[in-house]
Amino acid sequence: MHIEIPDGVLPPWLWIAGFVVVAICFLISSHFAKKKKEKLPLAALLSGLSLLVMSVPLGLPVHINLMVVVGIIVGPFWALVVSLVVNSLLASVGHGGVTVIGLNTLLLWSQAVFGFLLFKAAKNIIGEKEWLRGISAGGVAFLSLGLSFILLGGLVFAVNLNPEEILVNDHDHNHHDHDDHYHEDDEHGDYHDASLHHGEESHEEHHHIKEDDHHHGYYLEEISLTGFMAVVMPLFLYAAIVESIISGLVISFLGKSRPDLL
Amino acid sequence: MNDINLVDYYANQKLFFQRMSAYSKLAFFIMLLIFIISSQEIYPLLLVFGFILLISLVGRIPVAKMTKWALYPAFFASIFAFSQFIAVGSFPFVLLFRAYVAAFLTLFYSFTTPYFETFGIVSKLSPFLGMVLFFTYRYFFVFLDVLNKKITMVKIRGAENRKFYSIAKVVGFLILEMIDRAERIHSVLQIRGFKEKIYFKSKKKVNVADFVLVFTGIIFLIINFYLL
Repeated sequence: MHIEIPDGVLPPWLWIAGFVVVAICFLISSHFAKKKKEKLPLAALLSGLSLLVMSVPLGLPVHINLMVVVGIIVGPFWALVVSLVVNSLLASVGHGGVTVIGLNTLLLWSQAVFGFLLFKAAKNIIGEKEWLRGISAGGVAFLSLGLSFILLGGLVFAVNLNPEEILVNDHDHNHHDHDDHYHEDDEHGDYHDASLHHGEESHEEHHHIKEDDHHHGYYLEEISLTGFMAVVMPLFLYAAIVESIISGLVISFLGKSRPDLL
Repeated sequence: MNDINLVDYYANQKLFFQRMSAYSKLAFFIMLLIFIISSQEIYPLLLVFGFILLISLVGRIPVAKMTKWALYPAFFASIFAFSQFIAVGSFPFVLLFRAYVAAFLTLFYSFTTPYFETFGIVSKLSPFLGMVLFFTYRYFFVFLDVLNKKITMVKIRGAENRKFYSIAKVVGFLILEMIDRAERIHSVLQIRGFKEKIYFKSKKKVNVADFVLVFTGIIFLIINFYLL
């Protein structure tokens, strides 16, 4: 599950923030990944595999991505590199927008990180029982996808936030504090009129910015989270169930053939 | 599945736009993308779509494929728009067309610029990322070849009835086979003196056409910021 939202839908502040966060995480991850250079071919081949499976629709407009498997095999640091590479290459063929590469990378990476951590925890609990490995990997995949879906919901919700408005509100709030202060001094002087006037001006200014925003509102300024979830939830459940089964079977197969990889 | 394969094939043709420098095409792409994502009305989008369509026809880029493939992100945008239609009651058509034109532009860039040239630019920013991109690109095509053989093998053995199990087994076999192959390739590269860095030098020279392309992008930006 990643955002199939194309370019021009999300507000710039959100996707720019996505790129900034990915850049910071990439700098940190690449530092640790470079210490395990022997994993380079493995990461590259898993990127290729992920690219392949993400290009195959499962009947409905959903696909699997096997990022949980990637996370379990290469670990969280290389998984970020894999998700960045996969999203960049997919965007080049119009699968997901170029501007949402950052946000998509974070979503895919979150699946890999959750998968890695939960599988590690499950391994500690179930030990080396081979028959349980596949089941636990499937469960871990479902949980990781669920957590990543919550993050997706958070991102959609974030579209409704307007940083400029929040800043203005904050600014406005400060003014009101200031006004209250003047109010207290009312008995001792004639600040009252001035403070009222200032408050009105601030309100007008706020209103003006909102109107101005509306005028230049190039993007969806408000997204209905309920509407979005109502449409996407059934698709997510279908994809998550298929992906969990396949991830569980793949991990079970790899556990029998190359347990050193897990 | 073969989208990347096809894009790679067309990008390596010796046609007008394919012969141009990747830098100028990237600059043009970025400027037009800014124009598209900041367009509020349908007319500027029609203008930029018409322009890309025209230069694609002139440059003998497979317009039919681009038109068809660009529908894919527009389809996903429609799911998104539909979810908002349920809640708000109005259907954002401009948003859909914007998604379509942006995808069309991306495909124009991909169909005219070989992947390794873009990776060359990326590796100037981050040699590490550029190297992983190069390796992924290389393995992807090996992967396609191996996967096709495996699918044929599975079909011959009549694995249709156990779909999930067969998919998982094919993926598992693929991973195992590719790990062996990838480790071998990496060892061979190290023996040959590979230092975890790939150098890329384009033979393409910047010419007048490159300047014209960048200048066109600038004109679109001027239209966007001062005239619209």
